[in-house]
Amino acid sequence: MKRPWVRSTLGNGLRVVAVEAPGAPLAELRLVVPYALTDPREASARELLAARLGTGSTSRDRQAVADRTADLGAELSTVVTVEQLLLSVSVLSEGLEGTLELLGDLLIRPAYRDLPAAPPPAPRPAGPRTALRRVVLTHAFGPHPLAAAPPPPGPVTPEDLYAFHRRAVVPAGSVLLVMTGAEPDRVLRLVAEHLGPWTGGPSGLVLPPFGRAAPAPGRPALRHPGADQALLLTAGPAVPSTDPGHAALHLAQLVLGGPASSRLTRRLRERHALAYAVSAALRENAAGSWLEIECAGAPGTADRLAAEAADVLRVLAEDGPTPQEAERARRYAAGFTRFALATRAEEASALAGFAARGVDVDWLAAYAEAVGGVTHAEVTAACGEFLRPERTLLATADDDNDDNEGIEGKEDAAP
Amino acid sequence: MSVPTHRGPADRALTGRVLADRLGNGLRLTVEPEPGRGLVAVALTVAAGGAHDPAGRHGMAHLVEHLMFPRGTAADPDGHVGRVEGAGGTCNAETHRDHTVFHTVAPADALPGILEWEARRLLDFAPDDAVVRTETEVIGAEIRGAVGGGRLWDTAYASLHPGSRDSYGSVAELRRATAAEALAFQRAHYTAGATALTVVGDADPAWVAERVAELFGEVAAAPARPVVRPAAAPGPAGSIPYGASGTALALPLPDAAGERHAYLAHVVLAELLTRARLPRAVRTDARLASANVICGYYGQWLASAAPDIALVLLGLPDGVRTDESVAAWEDVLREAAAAPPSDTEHRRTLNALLVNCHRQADSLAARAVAHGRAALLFPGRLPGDNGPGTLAGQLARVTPADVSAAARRLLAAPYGVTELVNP
Repeated sequence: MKRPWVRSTLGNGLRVVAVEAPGAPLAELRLVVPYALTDPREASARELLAARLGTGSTSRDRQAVADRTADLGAELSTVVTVEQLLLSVSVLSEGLEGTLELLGDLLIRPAYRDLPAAPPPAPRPAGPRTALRRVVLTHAFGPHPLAAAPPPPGPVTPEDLYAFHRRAVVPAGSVLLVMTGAEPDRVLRLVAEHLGPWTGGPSGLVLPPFGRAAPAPGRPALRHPGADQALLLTAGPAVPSTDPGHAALHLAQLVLGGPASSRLTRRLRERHALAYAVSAALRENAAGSWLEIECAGAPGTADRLAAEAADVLRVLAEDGPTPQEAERARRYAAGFTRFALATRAEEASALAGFAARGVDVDWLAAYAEAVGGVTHAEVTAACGEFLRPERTLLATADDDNDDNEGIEGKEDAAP
Repeated sequence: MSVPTHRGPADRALTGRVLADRLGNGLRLTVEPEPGRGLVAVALTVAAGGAHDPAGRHGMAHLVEHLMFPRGTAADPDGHVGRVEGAGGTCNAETHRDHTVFHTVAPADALPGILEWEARRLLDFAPDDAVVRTETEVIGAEIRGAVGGGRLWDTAYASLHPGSRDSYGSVAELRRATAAEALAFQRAHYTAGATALTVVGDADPAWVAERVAELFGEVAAAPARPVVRPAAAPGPAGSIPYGASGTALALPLPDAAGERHAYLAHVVLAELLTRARLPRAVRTDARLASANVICGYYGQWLASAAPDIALVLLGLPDGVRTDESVAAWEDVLREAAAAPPSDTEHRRTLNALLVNCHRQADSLAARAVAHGRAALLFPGRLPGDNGPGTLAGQLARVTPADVSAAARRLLAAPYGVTELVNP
């Protein structure tokens, strides 16, 4: 559904998108701040700031913030991804202006009280899923901050925290999306009033590109004694969503392992009962793009999972999908572009993500049209180009009763 | 397929925009038009869940849920899921203790097909032994993926209701199940009287009512089979591996069907405690490292009419015993029982719940599922009385005194204890 929206950039560099969405008595706000970890020395301050942002200002302590949000009928949450800090607010409509005032207070006049005296204990060694993901990214794309194990936590002083706030939590480079029943121009005025005095940036906290655009193929196998599941994780070539060939690749990915009627599900789940769920997804961030298959099976089945997945890739790469499969994928993709935005909360998050990537908030509607125009031959060509197993890294983690060593150092490349 | 006779005007009700109807065979139908989004959500809710598993076949309800997604065959290559996805939709299902719900979201123009396929899988259920075997192993994989925190709810539930079993099932028992047994279970439980069909979205209620009458009229007219509702009777403390050391307490909630207002008062109480009182206690009481309380299955209140529980999670500081942290929890509860919350605190708590209510109500699929549960598990005086559209008003009628009464009731209630062991 296309909605009325307006876009503006405040004098401080904050990009603001106001979307008009009448109906539910709610306003949804999404503030997207670049927040990639580019310097390991900042890891501890980055983590602590994300946990404490929004809990206090110079004029409000934690309880006063909680009381104010409750008075407004607001729910405030913070999520950190590998490249962004996302501050989300759902608020009863009449609380919109009060929420913007509160947001401005927390961003412009932060206060970090009662900081822990000592750094948190070192985290446990990575579990098999995390270890496997790091192996996949390192093997596929070379050393990169995304694939690095975090440094041990260190002490963070209040000065460190305020300095990192001034560096990272800044308007220039950030995006605020407001979705509400209010008239967009009024929303822009309110945002300018309360967030106009916010200053700083851009921070430059964006992920560097991978060393390689396409993943290096291979077959790393982690041994993890005592693992209660065998894991498969892959990295295959892909193109970003702004690439003209992305729509055909998207349909190839859906035929491979998107919906529940995909080739992977039919082979691994329905025919062989090797896994409850198996998925293929297109991953994309500022570092690069790749096609990922993920599934878990019973201990001892890692090689079987990898072999079956490789064979499904091979068959599709060689023969392509049937016309019926391509058509089903197209219809599924067209439907998905609607029900991915089925609630205002989902829609606000998605549109904020588009705006942060620099694409239009109507991008999805245009993309749906592009998907509608992809032919069976183009999907077949995309399968042949992107799904070849010899271009794909297939990595596994599994129990190994004959080996009591941990995962570190047990990476090896099987044929 | 014959067209059944409707029972009459008394069985059809329009509450606001919502059509609530019953077919001649007893199948409940709810239609809520929500134009403008180009989508429909369809929920098929059946009053058959884990509590209906036959002896020696733990997980049969779950297995039948899986089998209700017939696979593609040579004659019908798409299968149910392929058809739904080919229409641009998505579908899934959940097996609960007292019901199973199949939910689908799709573009509105797919609704005729969705209704037809729902009826087909209900009426033409005919699994074979090979599919039963592979789905049993798939359930085994599903269970392996739900270890630890994924089993917390069922473990805590069993601490208050000893002998109760989760709805996942036991692969060892399911490996002895046959297609004939699955068919017998489906025929016994998936009857019209035990089924509610709900449509929410871009749909015309009159057209839906007519089409559903045509398609579902041949569903057997038997009523729902009653489920044994165990009384709370805590057993010895159990334990479960968990990400942090602590204690889980399971406390009984009022019957959400018969005591809805009291049930909702407990929901408000849980929100009040988790938002303000328990965080304050954690800051000031050395016996608690963390504390929160949720109502219903992983916080989904009104998700089941089987005896429902409130789940209290207490984080244990080093050197503190379980009974000490439980005493700290009871101190917080005692304070809430002694005096109603102030109007300000009460208003703030309701605000938080209302935001969540509106967010839930914004999802067509959530509304469809909520309508189905309301029709089947929480019927009110009139059809549609307890639908999702009524919830905000019902919550707003909970008073501070009701919240305090809920705290007194919990204080007096038996509770089960589960140790959370951080391996």
